[in-house]
Amino acid sequence: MSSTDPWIAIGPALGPAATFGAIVTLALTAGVVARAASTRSARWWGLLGAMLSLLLAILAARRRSTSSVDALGADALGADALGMDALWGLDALSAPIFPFVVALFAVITLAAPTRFASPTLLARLALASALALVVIGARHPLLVALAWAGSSVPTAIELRGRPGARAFVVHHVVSALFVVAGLFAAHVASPRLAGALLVLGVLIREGVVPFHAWVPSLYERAPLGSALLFSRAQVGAYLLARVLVASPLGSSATWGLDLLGAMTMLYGAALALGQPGVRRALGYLATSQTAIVLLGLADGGPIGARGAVLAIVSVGLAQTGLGLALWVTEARRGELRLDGAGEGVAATPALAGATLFLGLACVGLPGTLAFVAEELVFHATLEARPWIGVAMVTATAINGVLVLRIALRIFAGGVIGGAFGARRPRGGADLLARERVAFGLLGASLVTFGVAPQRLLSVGAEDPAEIRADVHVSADMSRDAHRREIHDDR
Amino acid sequence: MTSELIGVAVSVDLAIAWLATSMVLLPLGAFALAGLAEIVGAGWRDEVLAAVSRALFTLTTIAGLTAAALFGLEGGRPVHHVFGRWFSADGAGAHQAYEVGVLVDATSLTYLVLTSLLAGTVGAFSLRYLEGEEGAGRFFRAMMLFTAGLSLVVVAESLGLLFVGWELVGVSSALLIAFYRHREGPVRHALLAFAIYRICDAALLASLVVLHHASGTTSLPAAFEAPLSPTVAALFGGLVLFASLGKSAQLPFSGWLPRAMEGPTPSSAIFYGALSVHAGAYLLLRTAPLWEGSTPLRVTIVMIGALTALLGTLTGRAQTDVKSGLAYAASAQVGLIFVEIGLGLHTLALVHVVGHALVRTLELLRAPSLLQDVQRLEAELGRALPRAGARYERVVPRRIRTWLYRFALERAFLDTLASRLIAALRRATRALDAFDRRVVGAATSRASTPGRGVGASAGVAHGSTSEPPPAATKREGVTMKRGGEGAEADWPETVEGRR
Amino acid sequence: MTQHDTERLERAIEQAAHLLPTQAPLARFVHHNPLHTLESSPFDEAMVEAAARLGVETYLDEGSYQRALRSGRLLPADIDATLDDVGGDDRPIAAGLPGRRTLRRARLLDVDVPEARGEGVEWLLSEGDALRALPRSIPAPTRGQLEARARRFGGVDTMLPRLFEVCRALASAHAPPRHVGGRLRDRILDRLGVDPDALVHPMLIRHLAAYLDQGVAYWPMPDRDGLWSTFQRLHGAGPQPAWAVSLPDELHAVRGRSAGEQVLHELALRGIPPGAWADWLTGPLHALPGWAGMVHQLERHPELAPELPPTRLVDYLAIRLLLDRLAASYVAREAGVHVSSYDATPRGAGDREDPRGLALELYFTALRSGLGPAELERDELGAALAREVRAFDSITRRGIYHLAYERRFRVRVLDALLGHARAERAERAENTERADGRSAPRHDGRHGGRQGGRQGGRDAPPLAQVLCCIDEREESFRRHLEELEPRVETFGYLGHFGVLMRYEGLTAPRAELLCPPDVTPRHRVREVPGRSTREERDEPTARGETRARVASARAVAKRHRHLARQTLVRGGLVALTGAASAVPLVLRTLFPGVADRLARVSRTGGAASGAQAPTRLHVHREHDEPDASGHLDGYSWDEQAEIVGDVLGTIGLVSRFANVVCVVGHGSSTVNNPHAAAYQCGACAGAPGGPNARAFAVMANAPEVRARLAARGIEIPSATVFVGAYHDTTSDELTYFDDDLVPASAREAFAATRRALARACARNAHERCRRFPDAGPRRAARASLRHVRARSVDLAQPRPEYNHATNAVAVIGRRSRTRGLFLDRRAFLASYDPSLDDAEGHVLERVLARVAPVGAGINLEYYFSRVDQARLGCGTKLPHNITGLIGVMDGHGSDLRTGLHWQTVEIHEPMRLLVVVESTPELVARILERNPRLRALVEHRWVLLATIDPDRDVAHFLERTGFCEHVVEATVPEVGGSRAWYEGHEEHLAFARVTAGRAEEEPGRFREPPYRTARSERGEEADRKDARQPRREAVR
Repeated sequence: MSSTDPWIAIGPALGPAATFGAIVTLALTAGVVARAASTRSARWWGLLGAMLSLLLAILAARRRSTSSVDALGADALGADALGMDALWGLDALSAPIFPFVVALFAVITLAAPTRFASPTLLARLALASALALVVIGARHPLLVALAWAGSSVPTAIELRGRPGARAFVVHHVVSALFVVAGLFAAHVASPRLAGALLVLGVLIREGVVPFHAWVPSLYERAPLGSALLFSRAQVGAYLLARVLVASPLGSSATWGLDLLGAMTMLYGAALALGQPGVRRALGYLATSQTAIVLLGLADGGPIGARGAVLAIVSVGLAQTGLGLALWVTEARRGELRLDGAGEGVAATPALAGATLFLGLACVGLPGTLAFVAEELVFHATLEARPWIGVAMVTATAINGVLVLRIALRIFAGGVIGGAFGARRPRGGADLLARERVAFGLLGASLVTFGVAPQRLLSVGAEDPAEIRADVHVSADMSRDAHRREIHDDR
Repeated sequence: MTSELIGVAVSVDLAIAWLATSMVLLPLGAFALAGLAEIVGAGWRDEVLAAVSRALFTLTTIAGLTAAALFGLEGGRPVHHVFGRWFSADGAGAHQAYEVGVLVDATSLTYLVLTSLLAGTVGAFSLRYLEGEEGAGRFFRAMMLFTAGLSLVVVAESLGLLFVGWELVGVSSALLIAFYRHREGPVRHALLAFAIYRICDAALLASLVVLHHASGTTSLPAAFEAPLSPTVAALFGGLVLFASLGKSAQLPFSGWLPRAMEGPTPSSAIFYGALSVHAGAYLLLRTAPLWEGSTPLRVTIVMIGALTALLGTLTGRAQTDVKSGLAYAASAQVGLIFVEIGLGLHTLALVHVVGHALVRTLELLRAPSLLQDVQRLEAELGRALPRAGARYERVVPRRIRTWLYRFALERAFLDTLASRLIAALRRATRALDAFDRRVVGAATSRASTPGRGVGASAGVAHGSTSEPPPAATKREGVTMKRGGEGAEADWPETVEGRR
Repeated sequence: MTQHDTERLERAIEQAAHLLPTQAPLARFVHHNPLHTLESSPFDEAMVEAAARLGVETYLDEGSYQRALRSGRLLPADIDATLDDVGGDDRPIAAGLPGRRTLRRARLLDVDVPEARGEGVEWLLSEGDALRALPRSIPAPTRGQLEARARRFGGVDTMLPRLFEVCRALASAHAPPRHVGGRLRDRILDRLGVDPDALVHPMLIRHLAAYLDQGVAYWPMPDRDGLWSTFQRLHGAGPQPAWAVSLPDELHAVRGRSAGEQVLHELALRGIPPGAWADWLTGPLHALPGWAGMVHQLERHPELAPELPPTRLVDYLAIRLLLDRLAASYVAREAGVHVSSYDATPRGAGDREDPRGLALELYFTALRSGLGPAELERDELGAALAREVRAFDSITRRGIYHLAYERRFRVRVLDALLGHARAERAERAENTERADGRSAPRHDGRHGGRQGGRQGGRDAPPLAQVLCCIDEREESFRRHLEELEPRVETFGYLGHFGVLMRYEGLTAPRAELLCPPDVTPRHRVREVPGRSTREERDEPTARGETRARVASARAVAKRHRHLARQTLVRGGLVALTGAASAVPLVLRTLFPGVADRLARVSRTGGAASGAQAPTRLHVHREHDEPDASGHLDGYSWDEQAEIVGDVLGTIGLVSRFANVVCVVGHGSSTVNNPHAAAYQCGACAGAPGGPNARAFAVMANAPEVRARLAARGIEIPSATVFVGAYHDTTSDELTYFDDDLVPASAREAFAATRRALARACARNAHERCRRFPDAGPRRAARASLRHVRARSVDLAQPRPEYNHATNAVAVIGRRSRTRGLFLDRRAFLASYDPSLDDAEGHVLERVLARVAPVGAGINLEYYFSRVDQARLGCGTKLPHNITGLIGVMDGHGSDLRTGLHWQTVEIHEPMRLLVVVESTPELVARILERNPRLRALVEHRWVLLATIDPDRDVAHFLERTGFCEHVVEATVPEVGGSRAWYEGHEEHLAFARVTAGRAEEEPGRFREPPYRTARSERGEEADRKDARQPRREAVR
């Protein structure tokens, strides 16, 4: 951030204030949206709120805190002053992710089919994203813990009464317990235990094999929009990055994370390809792709971390886009399956095209952001652990086949012979204007950042080296300081 | 040499580099423009598209030929030029940068000229052939992407950049196979081809890693400097070979080639007769200095090529449709090219590639003429064409003739084996899936549906205004039992309120 | 398995197979009605039956008709008139409801009504405005009524959702039953969404293709002795794909079983009772209609593939049913369901279609009728409306749209013909008056019109007479010729010119039957080398023999180039030197015209084009012994006189012979075109008709024939010479036969005729170019000729010409009825002079009996190929892949595609052929009475019939109920020349009077066209674009 930055004059409190403002705006939006009379008005209110929040979030990202931050916020817990500065603020790690979550909410709200998106659903989406923002934007561990526990509640409510709800609740209660315990442990006990507890909680939240069982069932049962928001905001991955960047693991733990990551990628990819129903396949695809973040973070190197942050954003955007494309297709046609022949490419060419493009963007089509992310993670991992690379490459190859299969099997291939016969349409026109805007924006951001990724790579860090040096070192320092404090207290 | 001369040489090098780059950038730019127009809902009219394509193919052809002329004038010195860095990430002592540059030598320039010439010619052909065809826009967009991708493969300075082009070629190829996307066959075959591409791409990516590991760079000129140890060379070369098998339809991946003949004839010609099918050979030629030290690898290449050539010939002769026959003929010829590469006859291989690509393109473009050709031949002959294939009947004993014929007709049983393999894999993932669902079941302590999960997913989202779909009454006479416990059940049709 | 069962099975198969495509191998493509087996029932019923039984489309989609309605191609008045005919009465269908006709009319005219099914309805309602506001198309009074009703519900936006719920409930009760086919595969596909046929077809198609191959494979299938037995042999051992692992065991178990027994066994396994065999077998037979149809064709006509061993449909079924069973049980097993039996199930008993589509239809119908939820909830009213809406389903609506669509065209045609006749009569009267003032009348009156009479003074014979095929492609050629050279008369006769022969060309590998496909010729005509038929009749010259030997050697060498495809060693050698082929590749691709000229030069060694080896036809027969194949070697003088006299009498050329009579056969030269045969002369069974024209000229020139003709009253002056010629309709080139025999006395006239014909060709090319999307509508005539020539040799050209795409009407009558009328290449023109006919119309009967079936075959092939490209046409030709030399597949391993490809039918307006006869309704009725075949065609309305009176300007159209007089709606526009009318237009044009060709002395008469056509040009253009690319529907 150079001195010519126009915001510099407004003062150091702007960043934390904007962070807080973005969260509050979304929370308020949830309230307004819930009271809307129709889905239409709910959508526009939701979008308005999202836009405001996004502006604030971008501001917050640009005005990321210059003070060093403890990854676990442990210093703040002991601090006397609970001022804005101590409670809210972004750092190098969270700066790219914070606006990304708001953008996810905005794009889901924009594209959600009227048929499925009741005002209540939109309100819950807003609430869920507000809670996710708290996890990312808060510095106080108590806030993080509370938001972590709470952020799965709106989604759990969506699932209420459906098969799989219980699995979801069980997983996320356990995950919340682990994380709360971990944050507490970071305060009172050894950082090693804290790290282990946090990592375990996060792994459950991320649906890493073998804690993945709730993911496909969430995708299958919940409204696709809330499933996407919940799983693609990747709050868990973010927290993991936090934890790992702050306190790198020992080699055995790295090995364990690698193993889990590789297994998740392969397992998810294999199962996704075998699914007859598209939603479950999407769930496994999400599982598989999430593991890229895990692999990027596992070695604790700065390049891997960069790649991981990029992967959170790129895979999140692309998969949300793919999911939304499928959601709006479902609204037009009902359940979508992958084992039969598809239809409708002639009637909805733009929708089919969007599905294909966003699908390929998920798996790292060159020229999109995911390619850069995967490239970085790939290189970071491979230097030290080639066998992880083999697993990753294989899984990505399989996932590539899956996304093409999704696009083709849903939209294409239903007719024997020519297509010129007078076949009656099932109904459902091509992309509506707002859907076009949503997919257009997603595609544009993926390609823009994919072609010129350097800017995103430097978000929140003038010097890319800073991400690690800054956060890590400061975390160590503050932890030391904290220990000292504890000793002092005693 | 005076400094002035050096200056000229440098600028000529730069010109060649930029010309080569323009062969990537021009089609890519046209593709981006056309795609953008499509996204904002203002898709180009046919005339605009035709004009852009015409201009594009003319320009790339000119660029290719000019580059060749300059290269020749320069005396065939390889041109290596790095333009800059795409992106980089570093910190804490680690550094990762993605550099963009071109390496133009005789091999790549030959390919470049071939690409520009064939893309231009077939492009001009397609402009008339696809006039008024539904989806002509898609066709030309895919052609642009393909041209850009293949040019990138040809000129890329590093294996990493080459991979980018390699991927684009794969995607555009799959899209063109599925060009007639309303029908089932093209879709299935596009998926098959794409799956094989992806598997082989994984190998290319892996080879990239091996190279990076061994030489610390994926830049080819840099890697050429330091020879690899025989083991690494064999490993690297093996991976590259594996990567090239898919695109070049060599054993065991030759089955997709005839199936890829689903698009409009010119796309089949340029992809599976001319350019795409030789991409594997190019990859081998390009990386040859790195793996040439490994004799076992070279033997393997020769063996695979020879086997493909033999089987391709045998199989091709039993095919009863013109495009399948041409596909196997192409596969066999590429097999021969592999043999030549394995033997180290690189110049011969290059000549073979050029000749074969041109001949095959013309043959494929003329494939719809077969009937008229036969009639004309018969007219010239004054009688029906004599029966062919007697050679086989004479040579092969009657007992195994039937078997051999079926072997040829069924394409060496490769499809059969693939179908068995896929079925086995599907069964395995299904078992995993069932296991997975049981985990959910355990976690939720509710009995989950075993098997395929029709019941679990049959419900379709319904809005508040909707009612359940038409009642699925049990049909008389269709008694289908669920597997497992043998409990008779109707086809599950549970409907859940999911939105 | 008793003998009885087997016979029964054979009958059942034959019955089930009668709807299979009847297309012959592609080299012998003949235009025919693909649904001709349904011709025994009326057209409308046949369309419904075909749609129900085969799942084919039989009309255009509704969107096309609605666009026609928007653009003015179809008028509301046409729909009114059609509804008067078939729309039912207008009594209220229930108390409080409008009548059926009113409801239907409102539905048909509401072109914006959205259509959706199932989930699509939910989406439409949730995303669109349908439940929020009244549709815009509702007229003001109804709108007011609905708003009044809405008040009770608290507003329109409250009432509409309520109304839809009522409609949904009604629809659920009235949803039509759902049809799922009787095969297990159909039910599996229905329930699981997985198609077992996708497993079966690759294996089955590969076997069929290999078995039926006529010479693509270098190594043909060994020991072909029946589909079933070869299948058993080939698949009895060896690896099989996952779904068919048990196939060898199954085959082992049925070893020794004949195909019939196997089919019976499979039928028994499925529990199909013998009574249901025929019905049930339709399913498996139509799963791959193209291949099954080819097997069936070859079974019935083994001569189509002489080298092929017996090919039987029962063999095909035996394989098919076995594989079907394996695949279905595999799919079910994989899906985790157990199939306990393979029985036939009553179709979808109790199962209904998704009701939401019907609900939507009902909803809009209610709104159009001003009904609210309260009204619909009244029991009998809602149910009655639901029944009515269900009955007025898509195919019924399209049937009515279609009739109206045809009606608009018919009205325009008859208006133009009558308007032209009136104008001509007026002009004639005026001319006579003027002429009377100066000299004697110019016309003998009998030939009517103005042909020839103007220039040469009283009764002077014209410069030349040109006899063409009736083909609508020759319409513009004839028109331009007459415009250019008013002293030329033209006539139309079927392109075989009465010479129904087996033609043995000198270089042709096998004899061709140059006659309509349903005729078996008794005569053969040979082409022999040499300068004179009499001298060198039978001995091939030494030169000819050498030629043949050289050709043979070359062909054998080339064979490898084309068929063996240079796979390995030879291919390697070719490929190594392949860089040289860059030249032909680039040249032929980028500059096809230049490449063609170079090729011609190299072929003829630089000599002028058209220099052919001199040959003669051996037409006259010396002895009456039939040859080995049962054919007579030529025609006797009497037979020749009969043929010539018959043709001349029919077309009305019995006097006033010009010095030159040109007989023009036609064909088409195209490249890279598997469907080349479809472009040839339809009357010659898909072969070029040049030899027929040539033979006819030879006959008419023979003094022996002329003597016999004179005895019949047809005196051909000795100065008159007949010249055979051949018109290439793609490249618009004319070739003359035996022109060296034209006597010196006729040389000058012949040269003049040649010049005129050549110029007419250029103009014709120019007019044709307006249709080609890549030719551009504005270009010079010379350039057009170059352009069409390049088209005929361009490898990259999918539309060398548009073939019969514009056919729509056939006019049987004197040319004077149509001379000077711009018919837009849409009319078959058969010359027939009613004044020469007898009172019972025997000549007309002959003409009708020949023209109507040929015309209907062409017309209906185009009709069905256009309305259903997926099943009845063969789709776009771009991915076509020739297989076995018998047909084309789409890409790799698809069904054998039958019918015409999209590129020939894209501009076609699918309409039944309107045959306009210059005769009286009474006479035509008597003729139909006499001729049952014609009557069936006309009464079942597979062709439409109209008459135009020879003496008065009235026309009648044969309605369902009988002949009705045509009421003229509009006058025919007038234009100076054809070019002024068509230039700059790509679309179908209205018929117009062309004043050129008679008025060179009156240049002031040139007029700008008073109006183009009622429909807007943009609309028409949009139509074409739309037809190619499905429109993006807007959401309401």
